[in-house]
Amino acid sequence: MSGALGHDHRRSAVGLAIAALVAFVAGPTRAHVVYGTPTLSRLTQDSDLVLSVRIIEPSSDLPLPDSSAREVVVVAEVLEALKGSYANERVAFVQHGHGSPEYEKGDEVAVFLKRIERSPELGGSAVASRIHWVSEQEAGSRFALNGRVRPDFVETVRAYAQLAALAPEARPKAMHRITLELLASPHPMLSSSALRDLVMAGDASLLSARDLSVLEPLLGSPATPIGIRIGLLVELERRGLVDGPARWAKLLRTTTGRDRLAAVRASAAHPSEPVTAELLALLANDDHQLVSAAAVALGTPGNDAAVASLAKLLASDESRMRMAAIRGLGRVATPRAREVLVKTAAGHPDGSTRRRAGAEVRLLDRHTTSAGAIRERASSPQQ
Amino acid sequence: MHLQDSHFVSRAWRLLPFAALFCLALTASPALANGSLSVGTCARDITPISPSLVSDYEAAFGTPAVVNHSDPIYMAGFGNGREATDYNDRLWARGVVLDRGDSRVAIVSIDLIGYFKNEVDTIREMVSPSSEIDFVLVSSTHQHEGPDTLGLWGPNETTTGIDFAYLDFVNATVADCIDEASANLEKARIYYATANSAGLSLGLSSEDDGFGVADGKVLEGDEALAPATEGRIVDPTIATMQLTARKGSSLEVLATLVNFGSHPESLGSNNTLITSDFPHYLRERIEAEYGGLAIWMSGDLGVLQGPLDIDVEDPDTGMPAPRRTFRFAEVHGTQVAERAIEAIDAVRFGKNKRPSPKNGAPAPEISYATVDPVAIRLDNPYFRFFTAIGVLDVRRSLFTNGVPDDSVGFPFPPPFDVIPQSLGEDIETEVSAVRIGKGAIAVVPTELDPQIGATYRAALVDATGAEHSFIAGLGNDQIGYQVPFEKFDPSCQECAPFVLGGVPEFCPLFPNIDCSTVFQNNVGRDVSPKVTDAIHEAIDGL
Repeated sequence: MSGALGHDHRRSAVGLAIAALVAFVAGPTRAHVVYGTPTLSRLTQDSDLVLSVRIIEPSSDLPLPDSSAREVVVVAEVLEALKGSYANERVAFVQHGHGSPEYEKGDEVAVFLKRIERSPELGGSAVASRIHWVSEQEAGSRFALNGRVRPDFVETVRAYAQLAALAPEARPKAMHRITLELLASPHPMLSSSALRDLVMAGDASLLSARDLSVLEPLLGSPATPIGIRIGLLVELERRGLVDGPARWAKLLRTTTGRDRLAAVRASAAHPSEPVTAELLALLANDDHQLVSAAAVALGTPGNDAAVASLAKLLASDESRMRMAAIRGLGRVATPRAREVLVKTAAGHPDGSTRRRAGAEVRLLDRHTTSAGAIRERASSPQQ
Repeated sequence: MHLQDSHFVSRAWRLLPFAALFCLALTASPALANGSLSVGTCARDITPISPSLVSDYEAAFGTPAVVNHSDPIYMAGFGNGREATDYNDRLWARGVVLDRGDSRVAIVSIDLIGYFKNEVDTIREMVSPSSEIDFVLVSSTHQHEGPDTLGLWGPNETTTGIDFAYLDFVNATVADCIDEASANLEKARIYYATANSAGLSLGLSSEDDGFGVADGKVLEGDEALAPATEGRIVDPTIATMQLTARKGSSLEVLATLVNFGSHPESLGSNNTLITSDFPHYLRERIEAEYGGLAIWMSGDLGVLQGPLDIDVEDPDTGMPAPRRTFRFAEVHGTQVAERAIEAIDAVRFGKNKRPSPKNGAPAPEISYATVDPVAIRLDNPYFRFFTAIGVLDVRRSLFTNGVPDDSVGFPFPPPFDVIPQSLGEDIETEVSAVRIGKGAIAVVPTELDPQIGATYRAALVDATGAEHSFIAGLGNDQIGYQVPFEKFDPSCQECAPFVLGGVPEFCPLFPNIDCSTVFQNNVGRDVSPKVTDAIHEAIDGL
């Protein structure tokens, strides 16, 4: 993937072009799921009513007119309406989705509700004669409002809800502000939602080079969850707002522990000379998990620069590292890499390593004999 | 023997070098195969163990733990970032090797969300040549309470959840399992029985029609295709296979395989304990009844068929077992097992109520046919995006004109030309059919819609005369959902640049974009025609 900074102006223009088009259309999609788990902005936009509630009965049995049937409904005490108005002290709703959130009695949570007649499956059913609300929240959309997250969450949902009241031309700017603020939130529930807004489910159009002053510290801070740092880097790189290879190399160099392991794994899809150099350096690390992850990450098609180091790793006492080296070499798939695998299959002192290397050679040869894959890869190194 | 040089149907005959001649020979001369049946079994623990969970594993199972996974273990099947915290039961590779002298097949079920073909091929290449396996079938149970082996369920949407070291461990372990089973063949008989799941659930809610499995209510207008069930698309077939060996004067059960189309996901999305879900309890009940090894194989579990929206009666309380609890999984798994036991006993015991080897087959014909590769055009820009950014297993190449093609580019027109896409044209997979005496198996790489599964069952029976049909779902690969061609809604894929770009509102199809999981996790509209053509080709090759 290219991280060419030269595209900066074009990508900024892209952002502006889309921003100029953005007008929040409040109508629902037929979708149960916007890719992955819907973000807070999407949930808020698609809901008729957002409530902060305390669960009274998480699975109340609702008899239906057909005496043999029933429906499970959630009954909750209403604490606060975050979007829409609701006058009653209690609310009852049906959960409808693939892997709905589970609640316990006494839980304080946010629920995103639609009028049940909007549900294609339930709207005309017997349930609709008794229950007016449906929650289509999916796995991962369970919002516990405990401790310090509550005020931030409430403020966020209210801000999203208020977007619809703004003039169309004012909405992108407001969305931009919310997204940037949330990326820095100490609550993963909020920051990861904002990241997903950037990546694929919300208003992705608004980021520009002007925002780097806010985003750079997040990218570099160990206090930022590693998933946010990686996701943000991927997003900034694909928009051409940062020099991707240099940033990936820096991330690999400056992270520690589990964060570094996650960065190494993610770097596999972002090959470049600086990344290869960092990964090669990591092969000398004492952490076997890190080394094996680096070996796999070095396995990018045509990456001959990694072959010698991966070959050395085959002498490791650790099976995990030998297997990772074989996996990396198989993915490099150049004649040099194949040669190392052939030698390993024939003469490595460890039987399981010979077996695994032999399997990799045969897999490579299948592609080679059918399509000349090794030659193809050798002639077009990396992506 | 596993041939893969071109698009062909391979067969398990080592003596006949020419495939076409061989197919004709087999069709004309089934009597060529005349040996007796030998069977070996194996069970290997493939539970992921990370450094932070070593003590939990040892406390749960009382056996030493060997780390095979890094921290954290991301759990697959629902949302991102679900980290495992402990164990309820172990995950297994459970297999049988069946041999009749002229053909030897290995059938292994693994408690995983899915396993890509490139890893299955690695397993095949790691099986010892001395095991003389002609065909390996690795079917994932698709359980949603174990490690991410596909990549989609990492800490967030842009970061893979795969630990490749764990895949290396699984590959070696499954290969060892097959070698072990092959080394322990003994003379055996095979019994088949098919049960119906009607009445296995209470049918109390709108999602539950009483078949022990609910459909995922994701395909609108299904009632047009299934009027008898008002659009509920479920496969009630519980197909079973039992293998026995005579030990002295008694008949000992070596293995019992149960095949049913339902997602092992009854624990739902909040569970963080590693478990194989209700198949664990099914296997416990089967093994308590018969001894030997119990194997669960998931069938046509297609468009979200599963237990999340059914109710089952807890015999201890007389009330519905609470959904999404281990008690639910236990009750449900046990009840499916008892339905299978009832059917098996009816066959094994016969009219005189005593087990008799006469009811089993001592020398069933064994054959298989594989279509490999099956090239399917990858229409799905989401898969292209996730492959491009390395979330999906990067070792799984795309292909263009049969050549591995790992190129990445930015093919969308402005303003969406910032979205990366893997550019290879096709995804390559495989489809197979297996015949073992009175039973026949359709091996599909998909989460197969039961409406299509019903046609595969009919084709197996019509073409082979088999009396019992099985569906090995997620067999030897996992490429996503397979829905009927006429039900495929391309709107989500056509709007992908708008969705990925964050402005779905501007897709011309908005608001009628159906981005339910069956259309997002779907290679494209061609999946069903291509897989169906291949399965018929494979069945014809039996």
